[in-house]
Amino acid sequence: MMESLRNPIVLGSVALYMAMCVGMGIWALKRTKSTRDFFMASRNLGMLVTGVALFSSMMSGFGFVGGPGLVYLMGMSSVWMIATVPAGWAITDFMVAKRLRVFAGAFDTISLPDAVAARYGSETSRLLTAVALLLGVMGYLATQILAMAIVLQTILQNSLGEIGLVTCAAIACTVLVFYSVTGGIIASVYTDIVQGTVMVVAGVLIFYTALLAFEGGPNTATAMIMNDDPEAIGPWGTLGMIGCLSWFFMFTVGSAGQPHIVTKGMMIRRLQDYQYIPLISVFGYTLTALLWVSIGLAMRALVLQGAHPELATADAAAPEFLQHYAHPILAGLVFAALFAAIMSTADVFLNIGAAAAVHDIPRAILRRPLANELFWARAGTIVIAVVALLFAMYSYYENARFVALLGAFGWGTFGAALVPVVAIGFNWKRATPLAANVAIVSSLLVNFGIEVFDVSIPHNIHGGTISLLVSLLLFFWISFASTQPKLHPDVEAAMDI
Amino acid sequence: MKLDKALFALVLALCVLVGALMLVPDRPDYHGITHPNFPSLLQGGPGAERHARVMGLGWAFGTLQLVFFACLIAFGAKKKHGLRGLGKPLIFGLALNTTVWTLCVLTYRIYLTEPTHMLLLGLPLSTAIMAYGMWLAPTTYTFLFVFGFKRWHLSDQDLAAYDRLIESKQQ
Repeated sequence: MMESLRNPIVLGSVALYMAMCVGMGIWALKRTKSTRDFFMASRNLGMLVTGVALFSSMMSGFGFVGGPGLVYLMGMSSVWMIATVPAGWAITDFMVAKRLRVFAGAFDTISLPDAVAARYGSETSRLLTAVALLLGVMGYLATQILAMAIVLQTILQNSLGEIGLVTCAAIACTVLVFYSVTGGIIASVYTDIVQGTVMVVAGVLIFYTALLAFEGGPNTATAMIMNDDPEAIGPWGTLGMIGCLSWFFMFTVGSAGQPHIVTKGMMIRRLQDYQYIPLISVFGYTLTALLWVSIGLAMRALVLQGAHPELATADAAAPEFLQHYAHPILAGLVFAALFAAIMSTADVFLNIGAAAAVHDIPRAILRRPLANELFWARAGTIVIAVVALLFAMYSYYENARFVALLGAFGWGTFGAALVPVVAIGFNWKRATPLAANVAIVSSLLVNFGIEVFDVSIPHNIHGGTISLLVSLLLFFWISFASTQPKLHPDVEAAMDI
Repeated sequence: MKLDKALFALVLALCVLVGALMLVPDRPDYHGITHPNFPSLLQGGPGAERHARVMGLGWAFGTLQLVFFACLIAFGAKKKHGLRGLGKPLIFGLALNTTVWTLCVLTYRIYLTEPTHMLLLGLPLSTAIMAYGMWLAPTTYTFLFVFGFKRWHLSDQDLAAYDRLIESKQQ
């Protein structure tokens, strides 16, 4: 009985979720009266909202689709990305959170490049930070839009028959753009509350379902994988030790440079509200990540056992598991959670991109803000979404490497560009604007170079790790080699807190 | 040694170590080969063979990273008057993390040779130490942040200094 209602339940859950997003956009519209509201949520977020928004924007569609796919494909290798969370966020908490919030309060900064300009007293640093952000945002957004379109197409085709990918991308983008334009970051963080809650519930329930997928429990699944290939269930998976450690480094240290993470710290109401946020975000993220590991291992074992046909692609692991092993209501919840994971990341990147495009780049070039900045912020949000949509479709139909290229400006570039400039530089008075600018440029060049020239690094060391080490080295070296800069007394006071 | 110089030295050491790793001969099939029966899966192949030359350097790479993480945290926490008692808890956290990491590597060496494998919470021992331990050990730092917030991160004097800064900016 319930099984026959599977497709309507999934479709209804996703429709309900999208309606909630639209409603949240309308609610947030009345609360968005300035660019400070639009980009910084009026710096009025409480502890719980910020904590949930942090982990839900961190867990993107990659975690819900790509993550299980990686475990299915490579065994335990990608668990190193999840294991980084407590260490990475501790580094972010100690190095960045308070510092950026102090700068936001003292210098009324409404974006990350704004804070960088205030810290270094350099419009060039602002411009370079904004450009790096905009490039990275395009890559992230295009992949998120493509993921939304593919998932929506699967759901709609199961219920309504043949439907084009472009139509699905347009539907998903319309909802995303609607609440991002009307409510800015306010709509984004408050939808994150629902999105984060749905993701945690889905993560826990799917973990439980995956445990029951085998007679004899998880030990049977482990034995199945181990008998086939002990390395797959060993601590490094199929990737090997050094490749895993390079992920560990890039994802742990790189956390402190992710704009969707660090800018949230600028939005909290009071400095002291940050105290319990790490507990909410670390444990919330871990619960959502249960889905990542459990689906991947269960599907690998089921395929090896012959209980499930081999998957066409690794990314089909999560959808196939939901279709065949999850209760229809749970499948509906998880598909809604999947959209939540994608949208909660996409909306914050849309907002960061709009801030870079209409607030920071014009300021850096014209040395003044645009008139009616809020209008331009909304217009910029639409333009960025449309461009990212076009990139996504071009990539899908014409050049599959295109989004991957932009994606190279994702985590690795943000980490390499912003860890030295923000995490180190906001704690180190000796850091110079030249060192900051060189670190940003080197991160773009090294990441893009590795991707464009398809450089193969021995032992599968991730290019982002190389890029991060190079930018850190240059940043320290240039700063030590230069005369210690004379800071504005207010900057010095902010750095002493 | 000052923390900024220590961080610079650690970055240099990490660069040297990564450079050394790049010089160790490598084979593409050491990072996953297509499964003979299921092409959508990868297999790791012979673990002892593919890790024989890099296990020691790999341990050093992981250990150096853990030291670097602890130094970054200390760098973010330090004030004019130093670490104000955070040094010892940080060293404890680092020792705990390094122990877990070393256990992970050591048990993996045993895993490569033993005919039967002990499972802990559904995973082989070395994998369980990685999946649970490498996640759990750094939560020491999270708890230091949360429960030492006023002492090490944002004291009443810090808040007063912040209020003074905001006041002076408004004037």
